[in-house]
Amino acid sequence: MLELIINLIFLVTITLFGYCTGTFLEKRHYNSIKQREKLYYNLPVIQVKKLSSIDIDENDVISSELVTGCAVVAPDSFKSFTARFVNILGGRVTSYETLVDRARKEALLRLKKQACSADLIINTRIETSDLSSADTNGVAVLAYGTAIILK
Amino acid sequence: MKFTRVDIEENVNISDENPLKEFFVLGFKVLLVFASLYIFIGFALEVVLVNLSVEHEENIANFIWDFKEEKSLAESEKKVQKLIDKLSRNIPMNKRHFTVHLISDDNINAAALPGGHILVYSGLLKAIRSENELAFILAHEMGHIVHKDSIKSLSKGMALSAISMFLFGNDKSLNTLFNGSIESLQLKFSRDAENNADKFGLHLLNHTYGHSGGATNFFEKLAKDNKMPTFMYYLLTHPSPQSRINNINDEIKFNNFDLKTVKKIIFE
Amino acid sequence: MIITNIESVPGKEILEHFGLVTGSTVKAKNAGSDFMAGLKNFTGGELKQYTDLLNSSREDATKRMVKEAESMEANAIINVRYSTSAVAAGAAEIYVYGTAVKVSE
Repeated sequence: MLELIINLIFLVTITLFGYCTGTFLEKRHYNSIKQREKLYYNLPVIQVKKLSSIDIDENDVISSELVTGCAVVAPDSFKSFTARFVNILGGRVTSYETLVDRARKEALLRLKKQACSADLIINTRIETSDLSSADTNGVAVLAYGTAIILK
Repeated sequence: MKFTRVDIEENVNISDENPLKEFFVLGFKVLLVFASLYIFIGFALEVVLVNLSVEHEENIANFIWDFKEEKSLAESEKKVQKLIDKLSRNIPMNKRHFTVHLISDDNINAAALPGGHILVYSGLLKAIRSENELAFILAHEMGHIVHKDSIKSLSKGMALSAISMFLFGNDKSLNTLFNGSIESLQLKFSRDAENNADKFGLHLLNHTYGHSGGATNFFEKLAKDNKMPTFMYYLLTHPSPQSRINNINDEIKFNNFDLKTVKKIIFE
Repeated sequence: MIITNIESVPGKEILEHFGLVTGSTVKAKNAGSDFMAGLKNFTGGELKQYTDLLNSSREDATKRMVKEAESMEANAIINVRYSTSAVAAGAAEIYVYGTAVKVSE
């Protein structure tokens, strides 16, 4: 019985700690993302494959280069605990939504940073993969595309 | 082609539910699921076990446990077995055979296992002073067996562990949390079972000897020796010695049992 | 070596193609290198260790693909795609593939 109480206290403390630090770090991350997105305001990142689809003549291109951006984000203990409940009951795992969203935005920002002097980035692809293992949980997002510099 | 940048303020990929509220709502639902499973399993097991025949039970017990005889205690074991046989003759409509197994251990303890097996620690034999005292303790254990207490708690425990494994998989923390909370619930049933076994033991003692002398002697000694405060007993499987003494005395009064002198008995 | 992930190299003509070229690496993280990584389980946030691991894996995989293309005497790789997967506890595989071509200068 004593063991149970100790277990419970431990669990509650970890979850609460996760909630507090998790939400703080997440807010900070989102603020930083918003700020950096302003820097690359004018750099279009599009998904089309052919330059002719957006009326750009291939002869106007000076160079084209593959650019990539990658981000890995881990959930805090509060998020993963809520996710365990949803595992039993079913439904949307809303706690993980912000996780994947942050990782994607971060990956796209890093993509833009690598191609900062380019005019546009075409054929952008985004790949998400699960990096869970015994000790860490994580979501890895890789974004890559071709950066085009026009005359 | 012209590129027009449009700013989107709202993030459509994130739900705006409060995570804390969601956590508690989900937790509550999960708790409901467990509670209903626990109750259901409890009922199902009661139905199954009530219909388990004595022969079946003895077969299962002999299959699980390997009872070995302690040569050094053979003499005392025979004495205790005779006492048990005397008691079991006084159980109405009894089909069971009770076997005692002495264990060389200084702890003062006795236990009942399915199949009619009663374990008695040598420390217990050294601590008792009268035949009636020992008879009451043995009758109490026989009560557990007749009530099928240990099969019920063992099988309930196993069934619930199986369910938690199924629901949570390898999630260690949720598994231990679930099993621990079940344990504390089981404790309440265990205390009720102990009180019922005390009642059974008292009636059997009275029936065998014609009086209830000696029933509370052992617990009185325990109560004196034991310095645990009463509230700690909520955490244990047995009720506190004082509450047992009170319950037994109440039962004696209720049934108008006599209290006469006890027979002395000493074990080496 | 020009690398793009569209079907052509803008401004240049494709003269011949040599088929699929690939590169892959599997890297595992060093369990003891980042003691703060254990804390990330509770606080959440970015796993820098993993990010660096994936970045270096990608560079190595791309280098291997480029080497394969060079041995075919190609001078560009088009339509490049990446694939990431976790193969074992703490190890991630990056697989990159594309079409090796020769483009006009």
